[in-house]
Amino acid sequence: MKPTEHQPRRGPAEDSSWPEQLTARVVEPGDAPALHGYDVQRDLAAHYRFGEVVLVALAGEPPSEVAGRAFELAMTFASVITIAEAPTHAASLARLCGATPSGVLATGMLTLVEQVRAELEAHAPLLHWLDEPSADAPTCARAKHVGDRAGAKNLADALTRIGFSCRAPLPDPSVAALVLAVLHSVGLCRIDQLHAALCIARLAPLAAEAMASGAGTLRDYPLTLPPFQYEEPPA
Amino acid sequence: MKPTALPPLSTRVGHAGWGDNQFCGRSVLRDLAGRASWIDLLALALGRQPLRPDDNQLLEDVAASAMAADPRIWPLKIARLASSYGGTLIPLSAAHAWFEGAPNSPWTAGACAELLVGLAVELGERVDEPAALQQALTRRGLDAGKLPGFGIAVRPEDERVVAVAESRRRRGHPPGKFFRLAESVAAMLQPPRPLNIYGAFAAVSLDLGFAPEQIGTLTTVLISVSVVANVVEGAAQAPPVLQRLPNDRVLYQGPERRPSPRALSTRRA
Repeated sequence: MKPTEHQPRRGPAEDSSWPEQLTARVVEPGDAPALHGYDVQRDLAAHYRFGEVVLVALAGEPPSEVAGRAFELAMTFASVITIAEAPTHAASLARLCGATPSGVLATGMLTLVEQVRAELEAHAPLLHWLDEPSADAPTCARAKHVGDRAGAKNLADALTRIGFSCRAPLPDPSVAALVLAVLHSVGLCRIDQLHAALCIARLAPLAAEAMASGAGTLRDYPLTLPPFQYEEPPA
Repeated sequence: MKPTALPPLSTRVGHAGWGDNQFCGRSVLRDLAGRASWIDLLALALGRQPLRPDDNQLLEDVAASAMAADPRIWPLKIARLASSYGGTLIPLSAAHAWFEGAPNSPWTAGACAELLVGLAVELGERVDEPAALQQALTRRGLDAGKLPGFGIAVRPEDERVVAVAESRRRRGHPPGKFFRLAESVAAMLQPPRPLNIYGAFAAVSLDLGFAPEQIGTLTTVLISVSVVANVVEGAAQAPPVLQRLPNDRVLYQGPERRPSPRALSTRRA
């Protein structure tokens, strides 16, 4: 039966009761917004660096000076993402195809969250070990090559200089593993916290590299890198 | 220095040639243009052969039956929020980005298909025996809790599944083995969890020969029309109220206001 002016259509949305408000649990809106209860404008902005505020957001509590510096060091080491990697490659290619800044960033960010997901899945044994350390650290945490080992030593030296040590020391770690160990030690123990932190760390370099690509120079793009071979599917 | 040699990646999807393109083993010029339906192309894209016309029609019927495009429905509200600034394609991506692995999304049809195939393999010849099915469900711990493809929010049955059954009846298209199995599972679940549209997609697609790993994508693409409709209208409206709700429509339940440790030590100093 077609509804009339006096009999509007009815359905589950009309005939059930629903809350009238959204629930916020982290950011208190208003003229003096707060993050986990801390006044953003008059407290956090006055007493904490931006990197530390990121950690407040993700962990829920302000870090000590040393933990804040360690987090920033880990985030700096985690921020390295080059055009050889799919997120920046995809974002740069979008730029090359003439995408708007929002199109470039959307392409890069969607690929970035996938990159980080895959990385965290590959490090699942390490994340489990960080929760419950034992004698043998997982092999996925080991340095992969000489440059990786040197990078991890650079991070370890920087952490030593500020007086920070991880809860569970890793033998011969990769940069990625040591970054995760530091993030875990400063309170980012859950997958969703680590996922967010690594995406935040890489977003700025990704955006900068992609935006530096010119728009509309398709012939300058290495179309066959890597090569593809078309194969007829079986009949 | 010579660059690193890279092994070629194989693709069965496409090749751009001079004067004609290949798509999944077909010449666009000779085989597809003017011959293939949109569902044929989708079947090829998923790695299988085009369907028979009757089966094409069945999938189209299920897709049409699945239209529940009310913008208040949770997944479609995401489309409305993302498109509230007037864009179309990035919102379309955002509206789909969360589907993979989410139980309340079309992707769950793939998980339901895996479940149905697992039950069918386990039951073998006894697939139509209620006692055997009940035992299989109990053994797998599936008779309680959430099951992909079963259960529906707010209402007692999924009107979209009713529409699927009605369209089948009109066309004289009897339910296949997997659809019957899905209906039998639904009939046994306590508390009741009726077959939902994603379960129906799973069962119909299995009966048409799709593999479970193809069915999440197939269902997502076929159901996306409702997302498209919401993104298009949402972008045209770009309503400020969706861009930002009034603060009094947000209930804050986080930590109470408190000074940070550094603010406290500054005060003490």
